[in-house]
Amino acid sequence: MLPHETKVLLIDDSMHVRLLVRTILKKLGFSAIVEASDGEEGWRLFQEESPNLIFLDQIMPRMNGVQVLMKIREENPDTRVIILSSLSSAEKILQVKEIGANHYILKPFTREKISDVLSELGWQMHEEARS
Amino acid sequence: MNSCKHCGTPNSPQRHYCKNCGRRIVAFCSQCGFANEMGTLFCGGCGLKLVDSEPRDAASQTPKAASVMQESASSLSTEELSQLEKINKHRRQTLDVAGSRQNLEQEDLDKLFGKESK
Repeated sequence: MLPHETKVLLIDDSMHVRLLVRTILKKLGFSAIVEASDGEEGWRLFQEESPNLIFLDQIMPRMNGVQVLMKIREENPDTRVIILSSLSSAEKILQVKEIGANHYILKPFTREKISDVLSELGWQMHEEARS
Repeated sequence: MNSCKHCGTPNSPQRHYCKNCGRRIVAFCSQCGFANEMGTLFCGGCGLKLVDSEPRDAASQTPKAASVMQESASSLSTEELSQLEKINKHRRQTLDVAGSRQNLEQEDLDKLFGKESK
């Protein structure tokens, strides 16, 4: 699992998704959570807050998830980005993987899935630190 | 491997022109001269947005710009080759997981982004 002091940024235009992810994260022990309701606000908060972990929706007003991910990767290759999306097309998924998404969770999702992915990212970071 | 957008022929990353039809398969950045894959949205060398920029021919540039571009186009750096290899790896992994399917399940995504893909 990622450290509980990890600063998290949720970028999703659905208030319900943000509420659900925030609730899950709090139950998992994370408390530093900021939220954005569109891509542009997400990009601004990324610059202001320097989060370690981002949950990023794909289809959003003003700036979509791919655009936000590109800008994030130009700025910081180390921030962990988890795509949260209902888009399951192989082409779209390959696109965000190539840009540098660290994981991809399909909507609808469960608390267990979020927990599993955070454990996976924690493991990856541990392995990277060792190598 | 860079596929030609015109005829689809796979070309080695070192090539700037398609071995089959002779069309250009890289787009040089107008700011830094970096050779990007055709269709790339942002330059891999300096981050310049390339969406609206056409590929430029080295010969049509000012002498200074042309020399910069020719220099950068003459060979791919280890980092650039590594980046291309990484992209190819992503594509192979996605093809391995997806097969002929258009849409992926969460299980496929876990394989693509999980431990075994690293």
